[in-house]
Amino acid sequence: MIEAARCDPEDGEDRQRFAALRSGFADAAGRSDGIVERTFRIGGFGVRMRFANSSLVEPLTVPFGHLASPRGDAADLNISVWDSASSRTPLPAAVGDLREHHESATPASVPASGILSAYMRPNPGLSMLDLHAAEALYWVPDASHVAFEDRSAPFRCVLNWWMSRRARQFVHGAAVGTERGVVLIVGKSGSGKSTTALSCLLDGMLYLGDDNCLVSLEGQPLAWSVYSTAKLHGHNLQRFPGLQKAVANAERMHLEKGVVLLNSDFAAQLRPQLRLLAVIVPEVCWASRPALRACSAIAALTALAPSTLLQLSAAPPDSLQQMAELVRRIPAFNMALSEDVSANAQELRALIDRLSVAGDSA
Amino acid sequence: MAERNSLRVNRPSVVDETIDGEALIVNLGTGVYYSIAGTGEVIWRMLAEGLTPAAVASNLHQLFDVAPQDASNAVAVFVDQLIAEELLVSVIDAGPSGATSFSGAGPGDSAPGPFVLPELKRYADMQDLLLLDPVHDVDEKGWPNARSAPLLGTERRD
Repeated sequence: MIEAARCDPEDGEDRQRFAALRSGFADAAGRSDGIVERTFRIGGFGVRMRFANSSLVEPLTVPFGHLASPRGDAADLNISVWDSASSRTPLPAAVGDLREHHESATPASVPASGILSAYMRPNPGLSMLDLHAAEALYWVPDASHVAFEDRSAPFRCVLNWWMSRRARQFVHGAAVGTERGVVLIVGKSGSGKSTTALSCLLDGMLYLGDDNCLVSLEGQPLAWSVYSTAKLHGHNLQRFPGLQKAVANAERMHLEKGVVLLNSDFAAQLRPQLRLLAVIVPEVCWASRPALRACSAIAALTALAPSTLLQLSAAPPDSLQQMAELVRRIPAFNMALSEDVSANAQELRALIDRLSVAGDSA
Repeated sequence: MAERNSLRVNRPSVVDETIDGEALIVNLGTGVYYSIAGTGEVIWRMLAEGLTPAAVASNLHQLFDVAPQDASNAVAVFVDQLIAEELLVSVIDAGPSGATSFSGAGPGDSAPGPFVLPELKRYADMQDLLLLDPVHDVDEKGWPNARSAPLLGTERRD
């Protein structure tokens, strides 16, 4: 899709600010023992992360561990990352007032410079992307204070900007299933997405994500994993005692959701992408048995699209159309969730079996 | 050429999509989303095509069993709602007068039913997704002040 560029006298200023943030990275790297690089295959594209020092490497790369690429793999997008505290490098004044970057974050048109920026959306850092050069920068004030948004879904802003302009639509939803395919569980926070997704994981099913996934519609609809994490409130985590030792921020769970790192204990159940078979709209009614019933495409779109669009800054103008095309192409179901979380998983596994057989014979 | 006031959809803040005669409209600026079905969806599409409220009322009179004055009144009330919700904005237009004919139901869209007063269903339950990212006061290092900073304060984050 060709997006209309916005002619703006501030385009030159955008470029100066980007250059200033990049020079901050160079200064920070110059004060370190050396740049640390990691490359991952996300949404089918090579994404190289370059850290000015080692302080942010672990928290910001563990969620991508299941997508790691061999060293030297080609990169389609480069993200340079630094913080002021560990590098003793202040944010250059020429980056501009951080509040201006925040205000420019919502929504939707791209300046002629091709440079997008966002502060504090969704993570407490400054994201900048030069779309033309496929070069991104991410800065946080202090690597010793990594927020749970960064631990669970790092670089979401940059990845959304870049992927969504390459036919990979970020969606707010969980994707779980089997080798035959996955279902996309959608709905606002508290609708049961994470609980259902983790129930499926613990039941032995495959897992692509609990809150953010990529969807592509070229040919067969596919769901792509981005993060091998899950987010759960403390009271929900008590349902899953087997996950408690994998919580990355246990000391802060009185303040924020717990971030569960699934890479080590569940590596065999993580996949980069799988065929997408259906959209599930859960209903938290804790019935004795789970129940599925077909729901309309517009109901599925209403559960999927607003929460997706409102969480993402500067989504492309055709994002809603992409999601509408998805719900037109695959069936959607309401699912009354059971208090027996294992029964929910079994119900979804049976649905996937039925849909994949129907799809194979079509 | 004379200038005139016309209405247009408040893009890019407002995005919309119609499936099977029901429109989902999201105002990305306010965080509120809407559902319109039946007569209201037809009116929305006419307005999105650039028809004036008078032309919309005239087309409704032809499409539905509704008196011209009743159609005009219904459109006026609905348009006021859409403007109040910042889904439509008034612009000064120096071009030729707006379209008067409606392209009608598109492929795959259901045919309009009997005329009922249009209803805009409004949902504000996801506005907090915008409020999750308030414009924080930041200190000179870029770290949000404790007063508004969930990371450093005691506010729970979802």
